[in-house]
Amino acid sequence: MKKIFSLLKANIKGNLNIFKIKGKKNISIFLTTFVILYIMYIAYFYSEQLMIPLQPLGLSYIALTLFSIAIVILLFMREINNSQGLLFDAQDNDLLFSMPIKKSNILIVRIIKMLLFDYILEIIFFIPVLIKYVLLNNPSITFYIVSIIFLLLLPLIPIIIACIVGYIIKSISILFKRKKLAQIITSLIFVFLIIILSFNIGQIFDNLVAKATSINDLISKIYLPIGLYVDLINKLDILKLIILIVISIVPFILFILLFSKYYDKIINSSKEVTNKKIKENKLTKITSHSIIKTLIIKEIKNYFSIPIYVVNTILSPIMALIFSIALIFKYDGVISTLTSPEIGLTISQIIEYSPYLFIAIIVVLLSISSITASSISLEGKRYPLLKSLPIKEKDIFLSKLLLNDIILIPAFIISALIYIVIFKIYNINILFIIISCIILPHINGQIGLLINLRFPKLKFNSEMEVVKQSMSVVICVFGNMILASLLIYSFIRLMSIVSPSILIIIYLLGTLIILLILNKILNSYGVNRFKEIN
Amino acid sequence: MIEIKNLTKIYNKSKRAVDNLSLKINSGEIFAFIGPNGAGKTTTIKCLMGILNFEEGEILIDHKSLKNEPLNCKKIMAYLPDNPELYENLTGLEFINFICDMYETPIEERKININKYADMFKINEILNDEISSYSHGMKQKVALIAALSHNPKILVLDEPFVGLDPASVFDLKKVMKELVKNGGCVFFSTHILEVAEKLCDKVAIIKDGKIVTSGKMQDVVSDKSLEKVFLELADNKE
Repeated sequence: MKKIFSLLKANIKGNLNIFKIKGKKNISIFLTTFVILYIMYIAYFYSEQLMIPLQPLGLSYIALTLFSIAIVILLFMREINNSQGLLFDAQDNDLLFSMPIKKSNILIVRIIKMLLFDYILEIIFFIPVLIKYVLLNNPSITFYIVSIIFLLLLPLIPIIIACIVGYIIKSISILFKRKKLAQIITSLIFVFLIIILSFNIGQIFDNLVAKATSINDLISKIYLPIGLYVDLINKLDILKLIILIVISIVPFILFILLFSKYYDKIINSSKEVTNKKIKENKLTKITSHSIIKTLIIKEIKNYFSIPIYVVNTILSPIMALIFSIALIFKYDGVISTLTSPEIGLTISQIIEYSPYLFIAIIVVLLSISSITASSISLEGKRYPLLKSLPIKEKDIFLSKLLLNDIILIPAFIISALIYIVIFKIYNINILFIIISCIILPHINGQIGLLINLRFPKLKFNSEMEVVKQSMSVVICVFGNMILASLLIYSFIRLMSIVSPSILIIIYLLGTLIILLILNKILNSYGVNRFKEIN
Repeated sequence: MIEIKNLTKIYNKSKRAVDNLSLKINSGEIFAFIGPNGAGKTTTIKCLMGILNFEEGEILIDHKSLKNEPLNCKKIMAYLPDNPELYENLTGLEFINFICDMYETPIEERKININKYADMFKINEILNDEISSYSHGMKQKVALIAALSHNPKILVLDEPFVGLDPASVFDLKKVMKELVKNGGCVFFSTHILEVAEKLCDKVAIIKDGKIVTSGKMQDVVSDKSLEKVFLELADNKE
């Protein structure tokens, strides 16, 4: 037990506080508090919006249900990626497996680490909802007891499923010669399966509603532990409480027992590397490229060698493509929905608004993730090597931005071209869309790079810590969401004041100026920061 | 070729890792930089390579200021860290090519050098393999070939003999001698005092960020051994 505790302490130290800034404790505390309170406020606000109309009907617990489902999905999505980085690809595998510690203990510690992060997420997202519920309903003491037990048990099943999915992805990928590519593809397939499932959730929901005899029955059909929780907060039933505990804990223990048996085998097979061996030993591939070209090649190779990085950042361009391709087949349906009495748009209005809608979609897609928000951090221990080379910092930034552009821009442009043809967009609007597809991803890249330069994380045990848990990534995602909302809001406001063509000119000039300003900041502040980081 | 004037490096606004350090290494010299663990050797080397910014002092490389002309200074230098962290997803050859591209080494020159050093360190057969499959020694050799392939005038090495097999240690010493014979200079840190004593023209001993002694090897050692001098100075508590 002492070993597990020491191991856990060593594992989570410095890892739990993602907002840790070297030598700047106050800023770190401020940022942590700000982000947590902001999210808690949003959760509280939405729960209030949901609960108040349901309260007179005695149905405010439905808000608890919906938030529970959202948290289960959030935890599941988070852990699918985390399980691969934390359980299989951690850099301290060699160290830990060389020590006299049971493999099951290593597994337990890593799963506890996942659990701790999940509990933090639960506190941030769910506690405000519970507070609102308590304020509105003034429940009995059993509500508190049941809620605490429920919150403790809630992440267990998502973790088991995510670890199994992670294991399947890892097992499939080790069958292939190009393991990392296979890992990227299988991970993306799983992510898209979840997305497809989410898109069809309405249909699934309708089926469940048709079969369910009550709301509780419906919730139980969606996810049994949440159904049991809803039953328990309405009326304490010891048997149901035992069922809730058993269906969460027993699979979890069984999973740890079974998984620990094969744990080292999975890790050993995943460590086997593919050697791109050239039959002849002659050094025939001595080539020469310009500095920029070489740096870009390095960036591309580095990008595709980190599956979690790819899976986390390639969704936006792929979704843009899927969106446009889906439009080819669903165009008539979309038009009839938009022209339906509920929405009430005319065909000419749809054509008029379609360029703006596309830009809004691009802005939202870009806010999902940022390639450059972790590109400096991912240099990790190689950062001194990069700094020792006789190259301009500007060139390093350019290569990282170009990787961002190569991954994002072509997909957005293809998506835009399909969209332009489908909606028969013409004249200045074409220019507006295409230029946006070039400028917006580049600005997104510049912002990510600047944030990463300000908050780098060069020491990590697995790339997952950088790609999913580092401060720069969190700030970038939140910052992008705020920027996206501001941009869309200001656009809607301006649409009623100025004519479309003037609006487009203002917008294009505005984005170009932002791009140039960010470029200037990168070349001054960014260069200095690059030198300071060590 | 290397002139360090009153270098001071402070960590976290309080810890003086290097304190008012001055050194001069001329062309044709092999310079040993020795000291106990945590004395400030790696910090000095990182400042010398432009990896770390420093608060006070000046570093001149071939009479050029490292602060004012970092790229020109770095172009004639090569650095081998104590624990080379390479791009694991590249092959050995791709990594060496990457470094040569950064130094804009002409293709013919790099071909000659890569073949020469790959033969010397007996690593040709694995250069087309991914670095992730290499042992520590192999990574050290690849980093060394990458450092040498652009014909540096100044070679800066941090614990270069750690992890190398005896034959490679012998070859590396040969390379160092050859480089200084051609007018370059070598600055390296080591804990292997016998090698430093036999190989180097000059030596400096650093302790707690300060130089406790430096000069020509025979002047510093006198009638003792370098080991004895080092132990006396290292044990000598202020």
